[in-house]
Amino acid sequence: MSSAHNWRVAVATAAGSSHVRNNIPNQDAVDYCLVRVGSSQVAVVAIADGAGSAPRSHEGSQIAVKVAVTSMVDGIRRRPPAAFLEHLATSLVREAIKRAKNAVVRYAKKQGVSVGDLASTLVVAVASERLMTAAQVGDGAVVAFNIDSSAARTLCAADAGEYANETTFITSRTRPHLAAHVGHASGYDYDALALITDGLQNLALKMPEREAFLGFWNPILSDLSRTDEPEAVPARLHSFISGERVRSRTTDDVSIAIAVRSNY
Amino acid sequence: MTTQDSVGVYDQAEFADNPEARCSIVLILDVSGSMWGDKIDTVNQALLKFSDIIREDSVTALRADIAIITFDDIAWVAQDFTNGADFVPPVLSASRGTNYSKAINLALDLIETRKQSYRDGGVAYYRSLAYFLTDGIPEDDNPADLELAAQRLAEAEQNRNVAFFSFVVSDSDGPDFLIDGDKVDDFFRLVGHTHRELSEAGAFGKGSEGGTGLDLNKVAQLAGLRLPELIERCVKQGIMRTAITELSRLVPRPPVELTNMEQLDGSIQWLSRSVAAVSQSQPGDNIRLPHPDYLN
Repeated sequence: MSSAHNWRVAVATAAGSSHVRNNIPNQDAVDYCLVRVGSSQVAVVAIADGAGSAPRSHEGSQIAVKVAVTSMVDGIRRRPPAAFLEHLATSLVREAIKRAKNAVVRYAKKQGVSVGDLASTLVVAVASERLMTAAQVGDGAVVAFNIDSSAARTLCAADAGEYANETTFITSRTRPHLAAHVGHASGYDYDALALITDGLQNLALKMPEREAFLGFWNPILSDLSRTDEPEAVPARLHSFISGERVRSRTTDDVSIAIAVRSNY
Repeated sequence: MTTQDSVGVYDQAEFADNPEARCSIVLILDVSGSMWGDKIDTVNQALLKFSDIIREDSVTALRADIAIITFDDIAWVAQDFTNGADFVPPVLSASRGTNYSKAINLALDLIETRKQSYRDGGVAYYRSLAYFLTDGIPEDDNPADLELAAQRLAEAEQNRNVAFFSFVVSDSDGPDFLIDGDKVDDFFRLVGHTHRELSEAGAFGKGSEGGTGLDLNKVAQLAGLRLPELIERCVKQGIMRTAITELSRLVPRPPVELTNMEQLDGSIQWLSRSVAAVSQSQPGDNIRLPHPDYLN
């Protein structure tokens, strides 16, 4: 048996300055879980950006990430190879989006509100020692990194509509799981994975190529992979994304989730 | 390791040097002879306020790209696209006729070129805004030009290339209008007075330049109608054409009539606040343009 693979995950989300000013809650949501498979771990992560105009999209995005993570965890427990094989991982992430949407629709009915009131984007990812797979509905991005060689690869960074204020939501499609963009990276080539909502896109990616801008990522990746106190990273990450430097560059809600793999 | 030190870890993080998303705005301003005086002065003053409001917010200033087209017999670019942070409005003066189609076509050309350059440069952008201001009925050389421009504009709106807002400013003499030669008798019949009766009552007193010299307020009074009623009937019976009825026919969004200088000033302030609303919108935002309170 080769060495065991564990993951360190740090997530943070903060309301954008325009939301703070207009007294709108943070409509982003992020969730993750580590699943044990054999002697190793698999990381599942979901991140969602609630629609600005939808009055209860902060609830919609919370439901979407929680249900998506649960769906992926269940799927891996039921069928562990789902975290290792491309076609199974594709079904896993698509299923997560499908269930997330269904849950949002059910919640809307129960609450007697329109589904559109809960509109959000959704990006989900699963990362094992062999494979990283991500699926995306709407904007935001998923990037895989090789920390030692400073290599990066964008798995998903869907093109939104023509205009900067357009995108797709899980609630605006009949079958969002089929429309989702799915991307893979080999776990042998990459050892870290990051998800961001579109509020950070202009800072963390080179546009229009949508490639990772490493100057943004390197300090965060090296902190999470080297620190002796990984549990302190989320607070640092939160201070960073809610701090003045980021705020002066984007008025939107911002969220980030990072997973780095360690071998021991 | 203290929290302070830890936060410092990310101080090294650099940000990708991506350009800000842009919102292009074209102001299409009538500088024909009839705009001379209060109207053009008001426009000049309002443009200064417009640039102040755009600059009040740094994000709006960075994202707004503003161009000005002026038109009379011809249309020309008085100011090509300039970023809101650097925008200094030119001082406009007025003379000559009113050619809508040249102005509309030039505006759409300018917007298309701008969007292409955004795309070439990898710059994200918002839907363009256009503000069209006139005080006169169109005097295009060829009516077909006007139809073609209208058609092109309708397509641009339909394809959501531009949100085109149009405004007609009228003054105390009433709106600019035209009665075709062969409709003159119908007009006198409708108002129930002969040319001579109207003349004797002083309805031809004011002599606005270029027009018939007919004071519509006076005519309405003699006919026992309110001015809008008189106009509505004349327009309905094909007797009279006014700037607002002509424009209604040509542009997809209903034109707004501005009846005094405060409203004209207010409409340009409204535009600057709309630019702020659009340029800070995020995916899924229902952009609520500011209430047109200038009409109150």
